[in-house]
Amino acid sequence: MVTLDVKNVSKNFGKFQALDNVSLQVRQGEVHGFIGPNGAGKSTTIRVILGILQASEGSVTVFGKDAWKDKVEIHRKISYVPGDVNLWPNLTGGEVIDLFMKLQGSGNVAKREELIRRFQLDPTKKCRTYSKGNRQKVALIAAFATDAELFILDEPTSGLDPLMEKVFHECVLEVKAAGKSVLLSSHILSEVEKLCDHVSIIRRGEIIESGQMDALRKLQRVNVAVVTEEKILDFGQLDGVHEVEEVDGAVVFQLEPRAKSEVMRVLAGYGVMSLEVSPLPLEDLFMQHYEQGDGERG
Amino acid sequence: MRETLQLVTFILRRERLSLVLWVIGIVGIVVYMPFLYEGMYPTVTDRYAAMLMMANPAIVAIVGPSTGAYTLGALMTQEILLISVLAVGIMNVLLVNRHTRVDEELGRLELIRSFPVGSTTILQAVFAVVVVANVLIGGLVAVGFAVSGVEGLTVAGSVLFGAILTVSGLLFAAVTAVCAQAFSTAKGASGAAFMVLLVMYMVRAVGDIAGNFLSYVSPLGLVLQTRTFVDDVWWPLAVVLVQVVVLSALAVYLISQRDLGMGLIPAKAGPRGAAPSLLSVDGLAWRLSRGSLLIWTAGTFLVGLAYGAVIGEVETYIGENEMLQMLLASVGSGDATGPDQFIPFLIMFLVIVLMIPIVGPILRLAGEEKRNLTEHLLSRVVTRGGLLRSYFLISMLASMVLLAAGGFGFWLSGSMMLDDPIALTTMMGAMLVYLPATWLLIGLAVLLVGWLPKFAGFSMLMIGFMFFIGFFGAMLALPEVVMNLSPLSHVPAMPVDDFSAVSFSVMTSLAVALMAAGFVGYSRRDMQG
Repeated sequence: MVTLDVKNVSKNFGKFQALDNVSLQVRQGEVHGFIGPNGAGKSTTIRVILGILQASEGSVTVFGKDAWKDKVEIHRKISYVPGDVNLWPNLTGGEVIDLFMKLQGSGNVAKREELIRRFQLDPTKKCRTYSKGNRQKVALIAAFATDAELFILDEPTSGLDPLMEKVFHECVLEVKAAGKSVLLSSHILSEVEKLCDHVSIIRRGEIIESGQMDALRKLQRVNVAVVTEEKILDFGQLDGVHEVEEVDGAVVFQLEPRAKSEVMRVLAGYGVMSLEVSPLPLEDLFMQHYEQGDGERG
Repeated sequence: MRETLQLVTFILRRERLSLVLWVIGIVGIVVYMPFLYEGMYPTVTDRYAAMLMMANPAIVAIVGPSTGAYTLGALMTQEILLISVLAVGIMNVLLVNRHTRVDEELGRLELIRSFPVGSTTILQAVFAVVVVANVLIGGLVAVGFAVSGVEGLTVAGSVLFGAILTVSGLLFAAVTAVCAQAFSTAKGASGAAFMVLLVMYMVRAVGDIAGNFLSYVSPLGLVLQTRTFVDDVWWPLAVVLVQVVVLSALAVYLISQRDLGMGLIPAKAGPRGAAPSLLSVDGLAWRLSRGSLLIWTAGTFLVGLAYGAVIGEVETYIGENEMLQMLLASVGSGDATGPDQFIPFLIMFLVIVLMIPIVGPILRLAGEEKRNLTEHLLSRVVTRGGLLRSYFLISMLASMVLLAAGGFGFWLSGSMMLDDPIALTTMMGAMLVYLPATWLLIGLAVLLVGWLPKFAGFSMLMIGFMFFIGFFGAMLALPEVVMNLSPLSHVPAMPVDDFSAVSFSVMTSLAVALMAAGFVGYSRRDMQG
């Protein structure tokens, strides 16, 4: 079942086109990673989904309803954490959490207390005194303490320390286990790699890649580290081999899937002592998209 | 010593703009005053009448006691000394707090302390800067007065006047330095310092009216006992100077006794959860606005009281003053110059000032949108209309409560001062007849927030425009077309003029139309931020 369906959405601010024909789907029970550099249009897309902005073209449906016309109805089942959490300086964190839960409509007090403990937030402090990370915790606690069906999280960990990041990851996996959907925008790719089943990559307002996490990776190069008896000469000349480096006596390089068998045959001639193949981290994968894209435009 | 000097340079560098503006602002206005008073009271008769009026208890409560002398220097000192001291006091509270508790709260002090700089060194550097700033203000004012050539401004008196500003400034610097040690938040420290300022002012007001020892308990009362430009008594100032030294020493002692980031009074923990009254958008809007609304209401009531207190005295005052007569002629149609004529003039001035808090809630909503705060609300089960309505209703409430508070205060003290008291209904009518004009402004603000949120601040410009038209329109003989652009030009100047149902209903309908259009826009447009 499709929880969130963004279809061919474009958004213009005056002459500036922030989104160009963006489509993306989040199915029930899926954690969908939404990645892209800053200013690519992640937050704009999310604001269109939330009915805070109106799409110039295209349509957004959430739970089968129109995101602009039926926004208030839809929001009963959405929990949203913005990227840049500002709060009212005079209210305490606890007050804000209660207000948010009440306005969303499905808050759970026991869950609230549990989350405050897990995120180690002092809810009696005024928001004025909170750091960025603490303000984010307030928004996260208010979001995860509700019984929403769709969680929209816009770069929620940018201010959290690694320990709290771990708590956040647990929370995401818990709501996923409960059959709920998550749209997680991020530019921290290890996070996306860890949590998401599905990824959409956005750049300059356009979705440039979308698919299963696995499928997306399979299309790409792998990382190879090899130690041979004889020294390999002119290895970089081979077709499909990139970024050759020597690291502690091993030759490390990136390999395109199509050149796999040819390279293996060459390597066999040098007497392979050890061979390690690992998937490229998303960071590197994403850099590839980025560079290619720039090349096309340039 | 070297570290102190470096820190002094550092503080001066950070303060170069704001400190210069404060000093120029205060010195400029104060030094201009003798010329203003010279023009206002040209003859001995004028000064004598002014002195009698200034001996009125209500005025004594506000500005301080009359010396009974009616020289230009004596009159000017009574009218401007206390307010100048307050201005210097506010400057010092903000300045000292900025470099002590604010820096500490923001963690900047930690950075400075990580260098070989002791805790007391920072305070010494702040004191050094404060001494420079206050001596500069006092010195410039003294020189300005002495060379003004205005009759009766003796060199001795000028020096005393300047010294009072310097010493009072240092007093508030010292008070703030102590508060900054006592409280662990910047807001707590400055709030406490301002509270001390207020209490000193009030204690002195009571003492000055009753003529008792309370005038000598409050440092603000003491500095008014110097009889500047009359007898030039120095000892009260010496007492205040001793207080400065004691308080500064106390601040230095306290800072050496505590840890960085801590206060002597621990920060109070806030509520762990929200009260039921906060759990709605209405509740939130009310919670965010109630504090300033309460302060404005109390302040408006007090201004009303003050208006009422002086109204009995104005008859003679206006009769002598041509400039005031011209001003008054710009309001209303009558050419009588009596309390009745003066009332609409005072009311219009009050209403224009009150437009600021009245339109405040709508502008707050626009500001919160810019800071991405409305996003939290609109991404939950909150309609656009409901959100705007919450802030709008507080604006409407403010318009009624504030105008009524001013009218009530005016009537309360006025009925005691006038031989022929004005009825409460007349007074309230004269205030509340301005309601449609305030609603028009609310309507304008709602319209802008609904369609052009970036220009929401334009409603503040409109207030400035109304002020300009109201006070200078008639004097500059501006064309009627321009005058008519100000909503206030269409409000009958009650009680001199009669109530006009037409003007009231036309303005109200127009306001409603603007509001309705604004609400439509708000639920259709993209949110900013």
